Amino acid sequence: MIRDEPSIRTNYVANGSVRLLFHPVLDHGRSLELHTIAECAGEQDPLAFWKVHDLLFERQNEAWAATNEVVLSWLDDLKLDQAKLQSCTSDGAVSEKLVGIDRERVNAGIRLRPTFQVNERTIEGGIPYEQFAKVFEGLLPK
Amino acid sequence: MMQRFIGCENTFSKPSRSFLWAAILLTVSLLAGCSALNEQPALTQSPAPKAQAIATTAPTATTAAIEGAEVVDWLQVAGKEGDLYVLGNPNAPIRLVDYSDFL
Repeated sequence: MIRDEPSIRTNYVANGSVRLLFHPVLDHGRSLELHTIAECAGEQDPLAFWKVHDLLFERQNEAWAATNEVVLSWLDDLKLDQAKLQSCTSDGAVSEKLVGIDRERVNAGIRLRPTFQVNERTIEGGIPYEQFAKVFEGLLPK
Repeated sequence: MMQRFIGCENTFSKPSRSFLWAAILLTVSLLAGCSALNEQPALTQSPAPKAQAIATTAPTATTAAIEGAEVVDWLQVAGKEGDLYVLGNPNAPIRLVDYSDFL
């Protein structure tokens, strides 16, 4: 997650200037399972994907060691269909799709994490919010 | 002599009276005109607050549509763009892709 993502959301996404896309990166052993849970939540409600996204970043330290059952229990408040969620996460199709998406990233030469794309421009590594804001302002109509 | 004088007086007094009446009528009409002009702004101003009051209490469809457009919270709008989840205005001029892992 971008360190300053909350500021970007508040100042640029909320007013319709920026749309934010999340491209999964499978860098760790548990990554695929966690991305699969988020993807499956998104299949029920795209907004739920972003809620799971935020929750997994918030509980990053716990997510390392948490089992899928524990992680799924964190999503109770989202009022998702738990049976569908369990079935989706255990279905290999979603994981396979995520592996394919990650392969596309590698093939595109995007290896550093985090990496951002702002329209056609690629930014490697974390940059402060002010720098994002400067890039955005340069792209927005005057 | 006296009669002639009076006659003369009468001869001259008739146009004077007419002139006086004309002057009075002109003055009255000027005053009426002035007062009408003074009243004009009041007439144009008074309906405006009424219209505003109507607009605030019962918005028209156009106003409601504009207000609706202004209050869209794009943080509550999500979907997919290809295989990727997207948050915000699907027609936003800026597309920010975050390549990241949850861990």
